[in-house]
Amino acid sequence: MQGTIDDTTAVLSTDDQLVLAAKADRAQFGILYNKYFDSVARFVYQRTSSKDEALDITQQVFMQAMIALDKYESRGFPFSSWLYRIALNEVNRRFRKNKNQRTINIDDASIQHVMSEINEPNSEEKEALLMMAMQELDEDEIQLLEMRFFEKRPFKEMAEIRDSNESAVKMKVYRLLDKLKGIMEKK
Amino acid sequence: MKYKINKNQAPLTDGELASARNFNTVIKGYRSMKIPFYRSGKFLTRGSAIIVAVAVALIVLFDEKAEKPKDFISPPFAQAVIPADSYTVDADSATEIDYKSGSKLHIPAAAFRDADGKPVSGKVILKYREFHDQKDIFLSGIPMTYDSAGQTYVFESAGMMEISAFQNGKPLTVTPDHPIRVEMVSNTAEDRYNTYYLDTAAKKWVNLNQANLVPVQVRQMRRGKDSNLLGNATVAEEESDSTSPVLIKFEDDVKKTTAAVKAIEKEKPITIAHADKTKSKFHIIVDPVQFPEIAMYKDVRFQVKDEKNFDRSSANVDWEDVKLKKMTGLDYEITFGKGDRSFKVIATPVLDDRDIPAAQKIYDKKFAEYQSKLSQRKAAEEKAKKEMEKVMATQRLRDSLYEANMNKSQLIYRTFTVNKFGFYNCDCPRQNPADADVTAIVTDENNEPLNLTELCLVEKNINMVCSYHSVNRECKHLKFNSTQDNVLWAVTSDNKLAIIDVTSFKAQQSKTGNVAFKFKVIDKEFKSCDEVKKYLEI
Repeated sequence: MQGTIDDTTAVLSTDDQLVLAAKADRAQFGILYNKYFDSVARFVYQRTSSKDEALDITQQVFMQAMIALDKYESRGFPFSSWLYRIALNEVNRRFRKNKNQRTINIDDASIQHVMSEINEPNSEEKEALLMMAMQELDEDEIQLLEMRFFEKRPFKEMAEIRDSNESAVKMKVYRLLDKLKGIMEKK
Repeated sequence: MKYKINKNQAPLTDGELASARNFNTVIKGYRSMKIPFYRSGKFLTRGSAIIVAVAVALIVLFDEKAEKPKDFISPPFAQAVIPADSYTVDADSATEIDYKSGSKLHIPAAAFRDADGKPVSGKVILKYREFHDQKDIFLSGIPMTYDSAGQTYVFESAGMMEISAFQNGKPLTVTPDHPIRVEMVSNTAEDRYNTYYLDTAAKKWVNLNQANLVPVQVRQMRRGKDSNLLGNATVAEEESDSTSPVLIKFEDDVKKTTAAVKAIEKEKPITIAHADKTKSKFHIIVDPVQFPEIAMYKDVRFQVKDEKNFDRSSANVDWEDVKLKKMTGLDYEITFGKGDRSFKVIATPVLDDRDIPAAQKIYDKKFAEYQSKLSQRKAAEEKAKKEMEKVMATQRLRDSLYEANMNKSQLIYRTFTVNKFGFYNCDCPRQNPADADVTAIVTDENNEPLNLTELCLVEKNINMVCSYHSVNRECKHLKFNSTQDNVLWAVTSDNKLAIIDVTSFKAQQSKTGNVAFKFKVIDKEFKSCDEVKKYLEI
């Protein structure tokens, strides 16, 4: 099939149908599981430092999704947003339970992306400052940073994952960038 | 360090993902996982027979009064609900309503429909109320939990409101393409709050995904409200001047009308005295704009007041310049000038006897005109002053409401687009505080066990109310933040308010295990929410 709009509609309706089928029989959830396993696993791994732990949490996410599936209602968002939200809860729960330090994974491209957003040159010195500045952010701000600049998610999807609205997310991201720049300038 | 930061962590490979992907493990885990009975959808359907059986058994086994199932919205004290204000509005025309908190309701024309979906015309009763703090939430009896992605949260509120409308006692609905806009005053400027609607049929809050925050500086907001008094709904957001433009407008009106009164007072006709033949006089051509009171008469001359000190030789000088200045009474100061020389004299305007009768007629006519103009201008001045006082009184009221209710440096609006009547809320879902997790043993101050129908934990600095269930005089997993100031508000089975204040809570709290919480029971039948609120201090 050609044409992006029709394709999207088709995918959404398929997900809705799959959810309905899985609500009636959890064995049917396997199709959704296989469809979204990789993206959820990468989402979790972005927030953990061990592959084994990330894959373990991912399995847990799908188990939680199956438990909560009866409460799931399609509100026009992709099913994946709902899964990511469960994943965020699960990652945070795991950190709290094990009293582990929250992990942030960042690569060179993401550093460059953040630097350009805050109009700072990409140097070793600035990178060190950015790392220090990130230590002063709260969990909510780290989530925004991760989703927007490390995972390059659109604001719309970020809003869906966070069960928020797009304009609020945008405003928060812009404030976060101001905050990061402010902290770096003070250091 | 708060966070562990990994740089350039090796990514998950497709092979690693493929080998980890195993749905059988998940479904086995799911089936072996103990699902709390109350979270199981199937329980509610397939298990209904069991519920009935167990319910019957419980009633038979326990010698306790069977409790009626609570309504979804269940205010703890029937006589102490947050009252709604009623407004009569014309359904056929657009209306704006100022609520006492400073909130504003914009109701477009044709906004109402009846139960059959037909447009409603004529008078409609609109009801509106707001809930802002923990006390309001507690007294509202509105459930404040929210399920997101299978996890239950408690709402931290930035303000909640209920709006409804009736005609002839019958509830109305909102015309879909004519929604009502509510700008509700909020007590927080934070942008982490979403907009929710309470679906009372489905018994849950629904995220509307609407932006709601309209932060405006206090002065600017007041200016915006004042603008609305003039029928101009725009809100000035960028101005830095601290004075309201509406107030400036009324102040200007007062200034203008006062100036107009002063101007007419200048035109007050004066009676011209008879000339004294023994005194020196001179003739001056006066500017009729500056000195209308003199210009109105013909042949007025200025008579020297103090003849003794008047240098008569000055009359022989051919003066090049003359200035006239009004002094007190009928006196004028006249300054003659020529080059560096000048000469001053105080004089009064006079007329020869033969000109007096004509002058009197002119005076009578002009004085009547003057009095008429003066009274008109004074009336305009008085009106402007009253209008200004009205605006200032409105502003003072809003200021006092603001100071009393908000006590913050900003006044914030949250906007709701109302296309269904009911409850709307600006909330941020939060997890229950969990620093301490105890089993609360509930007693009164005499250690007598208490049966509670409501048990709410309130943390001082968070605008949320966490509801807990107390069964058989104890509450398992009462969670709270032990480092913060907490209170407990409860309702006993005989509908009495029971409280534990911050000091008592701190004295009784522990982080784990069984904790005996001794409640102070208020033996009073409440008639208004204000009566209850007196006991709900945090």
